[in-house]
Formats: sequence, C-alpha cells, structure tokens
Amino acid sequence: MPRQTEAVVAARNPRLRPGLLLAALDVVGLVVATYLSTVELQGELPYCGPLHGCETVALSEYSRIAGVPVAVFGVLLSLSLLTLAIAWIRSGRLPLLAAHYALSLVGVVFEVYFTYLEVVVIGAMCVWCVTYGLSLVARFAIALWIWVRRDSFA
Amino acid sequence: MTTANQRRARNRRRPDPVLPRRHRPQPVEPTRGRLFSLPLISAIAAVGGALLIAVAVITGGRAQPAAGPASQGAPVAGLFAGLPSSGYVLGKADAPVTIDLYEDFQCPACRRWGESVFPSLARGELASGQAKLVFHNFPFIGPESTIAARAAHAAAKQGQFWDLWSALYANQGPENAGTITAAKLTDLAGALGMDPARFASDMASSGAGMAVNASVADARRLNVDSTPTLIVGGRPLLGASYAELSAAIANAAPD
Repeated sequence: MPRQTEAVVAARNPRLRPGLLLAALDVVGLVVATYLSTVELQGELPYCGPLHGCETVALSEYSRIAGVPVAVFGVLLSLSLLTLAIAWIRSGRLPLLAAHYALSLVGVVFEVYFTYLEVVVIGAMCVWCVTYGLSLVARFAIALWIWVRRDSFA
Repeated sequence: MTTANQRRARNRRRPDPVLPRRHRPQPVEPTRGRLFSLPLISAIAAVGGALLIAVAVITGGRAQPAAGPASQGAPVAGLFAGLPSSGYVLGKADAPVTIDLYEDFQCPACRRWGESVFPSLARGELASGQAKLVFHNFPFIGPESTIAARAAHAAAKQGQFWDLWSALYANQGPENAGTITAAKLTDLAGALGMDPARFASDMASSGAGMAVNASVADARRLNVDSTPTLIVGGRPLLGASYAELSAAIANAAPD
C-alpha cells in the first residue's frame, strides 16, 4: 500500500511535501550554478546552443564579484538553502524557514539587479542565469507561502 | 461566531484528554515563531541584497578606463612598420622558415620575450624575409587568458592581431586580477582603430571559442606545456635568447 504509506508519512510530517518542493528547486539551482562555476573557473564559456547571450554575459566584467565568479555565490546560496530546507523538514524549527525565506530574498534582490545588467547594460540574456533566477523566485515564493501558512505545517 | 484563531487558541488550552500525553500534537515553537515578523526579515534580507549589489558595483561592475596602447609605451609597435602581416602571421608569407610561437597573454615571460628577443627578430630575419612568425593561442593561466585569446581571434579577423599583441603585453597586469575584461579589450580595440562592435561580437562568438580550443588542442598534441614556446622549422627551440633563435633559423633554412 504505497499510497497509504505516503499519506501516513505526509500526515505525520506535514512539512514533507512543501519542504521537498523547496529542496528540489534548491537542487535545480545548485546544478545550474555548479555548471556555470565549473565552466567559468576553467576559463571556458557556458554552452548556449542557438542562444548566444551566455557567452556575452560570461565575458562581461559583471560576471565576477571581487574576482569571484557570480555563479560561485549561486552555488553557496543554493547549498545553504538546500541545507536549510532539509533541516526544516526534519525539525520544523521556524528560524530555519525564516532563514530560507531571507536568504532566497537576498538572492532575488541580487537577481533583479543582475537581470537589469543583462538587459540594459550588457545587452544579452544568459539562459542559464534566467533558469537560476526563476528557480530562485519560485523558492522565495514557496518559502513565503509556507511562512504565511506556517501553523498548518507545525 | 468564533474565528479560526480563537478556536485554535482554545484547543491549545484544552488538550484532548483521550490521547496519551506523548501522542498529543506538540505546538512547534509558537511563541518563538511570532518573534520573526515577516516585514523585519524581509527588510534585513533586502538590506543584505543591497549590500551584495554594492560590493558587486564597487569590485566588479565598475567601468574602468581601458589602458590605451601607449599608456605605458608600446616599445615593439614601431617594429611592425614595413612588415607584412595576415591574421596571426607576421613576415613574408613565402618566407622559407616558419617560427611557431605559443603564448598566453598573462604570461610575464612572454612579455619579456616580446621586449628582449622580438625586436632583434623583427629587424633581422622577419624584415629580411628569412623567416615568418606565426602566433598560436595557448591560454592556460586562467579565465582572463581565455578572454585575451578570444580577443586575439577577434583582432586577427580585422587584420590587427599584432597591434593587439603589442598593446596587451605593454599593459600586462597581475594574473586574473581584473586587468583583462571584455569591456576593456573592446575599448582597447577601438583605440587601436578596430571596429569595436564587430570586435565584441567576434570575441563572444562560438567561432572564437572553437578557434581557441583548437589552438590549445594543437599545442597539447605538440607537447607544449609552457609559454613562450617556439618551434622553429618544426623543431622546438630549447634556448631563450635571440642568438639561439637566430642559429635555429639558420639551421632550418634550406640550403
């Protein structure tokens, strides 16, 4: 009875489903940021397929902060968010959820700035960056939704 | 009529007497949860994001004036006068001896080679038509090496590779420290008389990436593992002085 077992587990831990959704998006962000970081640190350019914006964005001076590729910060952010999501699923401690919400908001604020740079200053869009940005916005929105309904997940 | 919150609060005060204590629903830090107000967290996070943007603007995104080719002098630039060049080739196309030069634009030894050996070579064997110099990208020091190699490709497409070669070494900075960026190279290309828009487009093209990768693969096939590496008439040059290079050219020249 796998369906029943699932239902029992979900009933025992109401945080499981929303938490796993958060964790899954964190993994998506982690994979994208890890690919971009690896490519950047090797001095290569990300594969863009028919879309050529990635190369232009990667070659721009805005692709680094204090000499460190922006994607490396994305890896650290996604890794932190994934850790927080898993810890929240297990413990239900609100500070962990609050930290996930706050960190994802930091990322969203920076993502808005970076998208502005891509569109207005650099004049090219990187599909990898857009994917990461969308996953970040989704993570922020889900964390906010969970926070608003946090009593249901206690 | 009671609200959901009032009902919830009442339930908290009167736990279900039927359930044993260990099975009763445990409130998860309800009081601590209230300490974290959404506006406060959001404000702190927004400030954090703004600080990150400030760091990015100060350290990464700030546009810096490109170093012009003559800002520190370009001692070898005048040597090109009168020398034919095409793409990566400097000297007469039908010169009997080919000198293959593998370099990384961040390599200090390459800059020193350009200052110490190249002037004699340009005035001597290149000017006389005894030899021609063929440049090959071998970026291995870091990401900025790859960007410079792409710039070399873009400059070669406009027939001004050797101008860029001279300017890059004349303005060489510390390795991977922000000296070489696409924006600065584009400005430099403009200062050297190239079409900046075309240069930027060529530099970012997948063709540039493939050309650089092919050059690196070619170098590795020839066991090139350091820069500058010179191959004269198909044989690696072991010495680094002009005298040794000149002797190698003489040996490679057909009788």
